[in-house]
Amino acid sequence: MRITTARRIAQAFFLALFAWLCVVATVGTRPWQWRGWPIRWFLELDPLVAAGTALTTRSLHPGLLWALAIVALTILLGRVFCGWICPFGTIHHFMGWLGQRSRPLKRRMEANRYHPAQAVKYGILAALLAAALLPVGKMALATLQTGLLDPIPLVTRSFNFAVLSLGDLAAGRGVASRFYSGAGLIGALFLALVLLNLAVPRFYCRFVCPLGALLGVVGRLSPWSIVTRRAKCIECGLCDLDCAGACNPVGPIRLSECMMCMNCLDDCPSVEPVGYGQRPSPAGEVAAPGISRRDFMVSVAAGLAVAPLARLGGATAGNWPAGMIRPPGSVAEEEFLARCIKCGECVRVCPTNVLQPAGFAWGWEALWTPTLNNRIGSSGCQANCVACGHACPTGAIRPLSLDERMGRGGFEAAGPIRVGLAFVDRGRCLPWAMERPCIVCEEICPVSPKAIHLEEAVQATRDGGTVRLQRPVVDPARCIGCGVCEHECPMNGLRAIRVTADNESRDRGHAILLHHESQ
Amino acid sequence: MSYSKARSPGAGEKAISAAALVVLASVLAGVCLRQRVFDPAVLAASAAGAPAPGVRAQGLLASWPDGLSPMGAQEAFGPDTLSDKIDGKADLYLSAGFVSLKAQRVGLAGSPPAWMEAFVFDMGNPSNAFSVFSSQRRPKAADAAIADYSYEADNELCIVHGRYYAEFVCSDRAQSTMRAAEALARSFVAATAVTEHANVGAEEAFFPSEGQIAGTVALVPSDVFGSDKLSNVFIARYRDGAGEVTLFAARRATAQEAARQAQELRSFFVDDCGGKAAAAPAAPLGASLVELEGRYEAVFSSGPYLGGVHQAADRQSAERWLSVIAARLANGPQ
Amino acid sequence: MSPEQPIPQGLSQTRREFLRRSAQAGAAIAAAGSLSAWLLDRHPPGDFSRMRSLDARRDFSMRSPGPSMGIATGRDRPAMLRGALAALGGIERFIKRGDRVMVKVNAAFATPAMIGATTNPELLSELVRLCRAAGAASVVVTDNPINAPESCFELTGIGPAARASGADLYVPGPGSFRSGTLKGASLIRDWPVLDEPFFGVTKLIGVAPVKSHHRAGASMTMKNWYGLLGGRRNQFHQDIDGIIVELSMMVRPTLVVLDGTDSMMANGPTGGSLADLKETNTLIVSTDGVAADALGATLLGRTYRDLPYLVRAGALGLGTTDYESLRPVRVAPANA
Repeated sequence: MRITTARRIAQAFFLALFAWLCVVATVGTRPWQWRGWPIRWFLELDPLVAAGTALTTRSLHPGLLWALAIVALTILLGRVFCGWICPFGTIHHFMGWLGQRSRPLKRRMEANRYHPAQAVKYGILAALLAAALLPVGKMALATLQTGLLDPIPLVTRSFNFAVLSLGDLAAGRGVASRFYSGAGLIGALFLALVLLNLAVPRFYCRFVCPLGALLGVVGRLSPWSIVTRRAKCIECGLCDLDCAGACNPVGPIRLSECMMCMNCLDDCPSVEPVGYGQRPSPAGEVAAPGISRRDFMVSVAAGLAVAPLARLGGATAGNWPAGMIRPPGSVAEEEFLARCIKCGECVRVCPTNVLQPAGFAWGWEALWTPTLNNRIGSSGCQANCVACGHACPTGAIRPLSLDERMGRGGFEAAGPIRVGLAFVDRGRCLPWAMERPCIVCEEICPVSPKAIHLEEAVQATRDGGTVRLQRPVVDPARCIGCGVCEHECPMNGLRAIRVTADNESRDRGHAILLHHESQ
Repeated sequence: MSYSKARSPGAGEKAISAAALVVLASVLAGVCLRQRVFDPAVLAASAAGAPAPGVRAQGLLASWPDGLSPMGAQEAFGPDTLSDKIDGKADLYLSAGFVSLKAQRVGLAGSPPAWMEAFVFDMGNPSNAFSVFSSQRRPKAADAAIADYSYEADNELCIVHGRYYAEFVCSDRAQSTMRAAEALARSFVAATAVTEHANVGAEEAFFPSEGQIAGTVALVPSDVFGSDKLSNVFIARYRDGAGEVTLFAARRATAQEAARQAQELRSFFVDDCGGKAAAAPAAPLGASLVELEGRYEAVFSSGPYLGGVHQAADRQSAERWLSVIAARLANGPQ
Repeated sequence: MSPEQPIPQGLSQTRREFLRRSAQAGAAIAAAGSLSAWLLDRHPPGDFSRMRSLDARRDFSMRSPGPSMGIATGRDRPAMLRGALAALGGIERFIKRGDRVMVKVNAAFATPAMIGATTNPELLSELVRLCRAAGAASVVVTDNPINAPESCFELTGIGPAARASGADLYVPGPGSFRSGTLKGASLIRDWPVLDEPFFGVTKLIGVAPVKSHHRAGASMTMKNWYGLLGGRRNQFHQDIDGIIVELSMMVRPTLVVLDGTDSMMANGPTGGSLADLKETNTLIVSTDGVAADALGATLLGRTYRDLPYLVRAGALGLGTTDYESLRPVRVAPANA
């Protein structure tokens, strides 16, 4: 079997595996549900996830040790990950082939020539890592934004919110099965990146991908590479014909660009000149990434400015967005932003669909991070569910035990995890404002004993009579902020009972009560 | 891609391709193996439907006898959490087939300091319930004639009701308190329907009444005399001169099984405990005699029955008691 | 792959170059591996033991000349405690002015004091009173019953006794524990151990009754340290002797008080009936928990050889099972 055939099999395999792991990311024990499928695995394999979170938190979340395997593979063999494993890369590869296959040879060769702009991705990498560089602490000048462009979180997010949702539609499950706010933007971005391949094959991989850049830097240590022997080479340039990385295999080869696709072996008209062997290639090599020192410094400086600029709005200080409710088990906001890679696994796995990717409303730093939207979905945040924390690859949401979530089995003193607190809007609530009876929120409150109780009142009506009303009142010592009341409130537009992040467990500074008496 | 010739790969290339495919196959195998071990979140989701241990459940009784009222919530424990409530004693119940424990403290009206705690162990079946009842029977127990089996010992009342074993532990030994415990026990029995009652009459008949110390018939559920191979054996203690001796008996499904277990127990005494096999020419039913740390053990089987003598003071005593129990089992207990 | 052709620069140079690159790659992988290992977060966020595992050792033992074991006989626990302590040179030998004393009781079950499954409240009161009289700045009474701690302290009478005699009662919660590791231990590793109430404590006294124990054989002063463990400690029942020995390595108390006025002869550790108790009329105060428990075993009609943890603790030098070698001072206080 030719190595290129093996590569295509590997690409198809990993793309299928990736898609499958996205499909099964729903709580349950059936074969097509979560069971024990390693739904975080591709994210854990991603060295940029590991490097980014290691910079912001000065520690490595246990599952991310998998990334070491990819780092070792890259050090030994070069960017095999890009050419053989990366599911996003495979999509680009296929689309690029689709766009190129009917074009004349000359144009195909031109499309795969090395372009100086391929150095841009190193700038992007430098900026993203620089933004993550300064540690979390009092000054909080680090922000983890690698997830915006890191291909694995990007493709995971795109699959979870857009591709699979379209699949749901196609399968006739209807548009109402799952909603994701802002999925349009995520899907459009994905589509645009995929379609760019029709113009330039593997556009994203060559010019944008920060993970490819990272692996390019690491891969230059490899003892082997594509080698070209000029003596036998007629310099026909056919090796560029299907070159994935645009790495100039005719030589001197751009080592950090080569994706180990091995197409040059197939395309070379003779057996001899292009091969795979010990470095250096006789035709010469360029080991260093093509970014200039000046551009690199500019990127780092720009990256360093990102976090301070992001924090100027005060969203992690006094101006914290009370409407942004983080899922149960989330760590405090500064560390959350230091860990979340915006992959959307938690959102996908949430059984009630109440968890949503944040838009720009809570500041662009929090873009696509998970937040509760009690108007979407089938119910609020279920008091006995811990799925989101277990789906999180980086520990932004802690993998809670049911005991800790529910405040029992040794966690009685801490009480159940609170994500926020419900507030009755007495200007909109039927019995408070409009003399109409309604006790939906009290009835539906899942906390035991109930966090909402009813206050009896006899109210004089406009026509001189009286009406007996039961008005809901929330007990902050009991409410866990699950939002089931908000979800069910009959005030359909702006609900008359709404949850905000006040009193959330994860930040003592957001507490309402001085003491939380255990129940 | 292959616009030109179909290049024919060399041996090295073929090997590398094959190795890559092997790696893919192992990744696939690993992922498939992994999916069998459920993620904690999935387990939590399936557990969420079940009632949580140690949290408020329905009270022990729907209505309470006069003067008694529940203090606080009822607690519930399963096999995983039993030791949270009774620590090291959990083993005793776990090895006998424990299913669940419900515990409820109950206050007595009129006398504020007096209270009691009811422990209701669901043991799965009446035999298990009898087993834990009999194996921890207190020495000064007096039969109480409540439910299938029952006794009272100072400040405590213990009963077997079908598959339930219940203890009512009082904070003092006053008559009024103990009568309240009895009322509570009777209410529990009346309010709790069981499909099958505990009855070990047939097994009690294994043991002659002469010389038997009252209330010592017990069912040992597992690890009989320390042997992990032997389970579900009835024992009874007898006065033997100045000391005591234990007789044991059990009925097995087949004669072969009884014979095999008798043999296993004998080899346990000899091989595992370092006992010395003693010749027993006069022993009935081909029983084996073992001297162990100065005491004598005797084991035999007869038809489906297995029986013997445990810790007899001397050889004569062992042989004498052996003939008593052997005669009983050989004729079939009445 | 294409077969490798000789390359113009010469084989040996290429070979050297390859070896150099291989070594470089190997070193890079090793570096990445070590960096990962160094950064690896063994306690990911939220794990309540996130802070580094502390040294679990709790050493409050004293080296002061004088007898190390006092045995009092009688029925009146306070009098016996005073007598046994006097035999050792008085409480002042152990508790100095300004000391902060922790008293670790056995409050494992919410049962009445009468049935002897928990530390006797009268005995506790007297001990606290003596400590205060000796000038102790504070006395804190604690234990970690896993189930319903508040009712355990109240119903056993330990809570009321502690408060009435001038001690503080410390009821542990989830924040009271920190992950601790005991050097040389195989069980107490990264395990939640009671930490918070130890802050500032200078002396530690364990007070336990003599009880049979279904799993361990007997529960006395050494088994009593079990209450310093948090977490799902019932898994230690798989190696009960091992954990008791490790607890004795972990905790070196100032004193232990073993109450064998009544001993729970059967159905321990919970007991339930007065019928389980036997009047054994003995109270032991010792600086050596192993010796105290070895004597306690005899009250249950056994010897230390029947209790594997005592044999192992003796062999490890955590104390002596041959308590007579300590030349215990025996007293029979008047009207006790």
